[in-house]
Amino acid sequence: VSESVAAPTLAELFAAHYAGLCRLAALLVGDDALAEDVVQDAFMGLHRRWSGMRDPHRALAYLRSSVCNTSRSKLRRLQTARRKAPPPAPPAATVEQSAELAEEHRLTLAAVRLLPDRQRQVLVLRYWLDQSEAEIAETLGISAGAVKSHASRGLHAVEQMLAGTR
Amino acid sequence: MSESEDRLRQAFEARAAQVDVDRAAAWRAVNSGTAMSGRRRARLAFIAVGLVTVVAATGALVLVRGRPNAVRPAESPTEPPTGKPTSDGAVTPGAPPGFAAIDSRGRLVLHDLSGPGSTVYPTDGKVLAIATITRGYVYAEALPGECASRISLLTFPDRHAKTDVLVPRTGEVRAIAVTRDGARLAYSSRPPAHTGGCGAATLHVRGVTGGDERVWSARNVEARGQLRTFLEPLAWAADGQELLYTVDMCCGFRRLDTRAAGDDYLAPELVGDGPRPGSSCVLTSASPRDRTTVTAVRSCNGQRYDVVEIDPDTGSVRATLFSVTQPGITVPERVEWSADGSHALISYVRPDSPGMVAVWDGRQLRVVGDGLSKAAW
Repeated sequence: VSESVAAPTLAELFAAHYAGLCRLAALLVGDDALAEDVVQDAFMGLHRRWSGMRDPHRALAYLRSSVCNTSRSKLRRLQTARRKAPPPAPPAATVEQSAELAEEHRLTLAAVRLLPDRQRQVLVLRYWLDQSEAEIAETLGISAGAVKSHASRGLHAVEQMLAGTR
Repeated sequence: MSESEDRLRQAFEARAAQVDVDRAAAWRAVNSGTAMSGRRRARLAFIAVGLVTVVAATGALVLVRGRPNAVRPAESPTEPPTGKPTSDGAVTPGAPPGFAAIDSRGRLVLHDLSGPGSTVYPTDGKVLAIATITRGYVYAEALPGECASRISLLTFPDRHAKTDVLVPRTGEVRAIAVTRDGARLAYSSRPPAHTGGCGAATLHVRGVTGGDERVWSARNVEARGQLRTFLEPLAWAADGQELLYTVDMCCGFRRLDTRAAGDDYLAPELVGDGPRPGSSCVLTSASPRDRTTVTAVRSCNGQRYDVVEIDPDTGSVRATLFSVTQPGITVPERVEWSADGSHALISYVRPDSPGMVAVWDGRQLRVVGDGLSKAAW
């Protein structure tokens, strides 16, 4: 009987989670190319810290936190740039993607996109990654109480916006 | 769960499914320097160099011998870079050089273990199931309309892909198995129900090249509520006559003698144990190497899984073959052994993204396919 309990290598993490993290980032920033940039940043950060990591089993948690934080800062930078310049075309889905997305999903995603960063992050982590309040708190570096509050406000805001579209 | 929460989940899933990340293309771009902004290419190169350094340092990945990473055009039907199990391009000695799987968009992908290259084989509909056969694959793809699919044989004579339709139209198919000699095909299907939706699963056995087809169904209508939607997985025993399948909600499998009379797939007794404290059987698949055995995957604590060999007669565990620990939340759904039993191909499902495929080489488990599912050698 053999047992493999070895910690994942960086290459294995890349192979296993690059695509999944790109999807997480895409839900947070709304743009696939920007999402890939975010995830590449996260892996570069992990690569820099890899030799100093005490517990490589925690690397995925680090990557998720990094993706959330970098997504937030990228969006802020984008918002700042938009205030100073004429608004470029929104980072919306491609025509093909739009055609494939059901109208109902499009409205829901549009509502989520209008939420404050923290609320959007909490909803994505809660309803897409199925993370618990404690896990979300750890990923975002905030208290469990704050997670609860952001989730409640975010969900309420989405419900209000969707009610307005009916 | 409220309606809004449900709506959020569905919208997130729909949007995430559209994100088409081609990791292999990223690696290829690093090698060939094509079609990416300088900034991204530089980043990828940085990551690639870093990863290669880490890989070299840890020895975690066994690098392929000699063969350069081929850049293959997508949607180009060619012979799978792998062929069938040979030593050509093997990742580790004795490993089959590649496998077929379903990607996140429901396409049939032939994945080369000797490099990051994959070939997408064009199909008319989304691929639902794959089974391996000598020098090719049998696959089921969805057809327009409710609960309809087609089963085809993909082979590579003269290094060109060739498709032969085996079953032009049947119900929705999710599991296929071919005997080791490539002579007989089994599949589970769900035809449209008169009341709408898909009906109860039926089990079909026929010759691959034609001939009569036998069909089994669940005669005990009351039991249907306690059954899985499909008979999945399906696996032929080593003798090519007995068929093993999981259909009950509980942990266990049934073994059907396809020569015997009768048309009820619930007639064979349930073999295998029920849920054990702290452990549950995720799914079973047969591992007929030199004799008929069953390989089961058992969850120990949500993070660790034991892959065990089970006596098909008694359901008792003969041996624990290996245990695996995975980063993140992953659940093994299928185990496929190579012909000589030296390597196992494990397909995982993940809640946050499409599936993942890993190879167990008797010593280590290595992730070889991100976003792939239902892999077959």
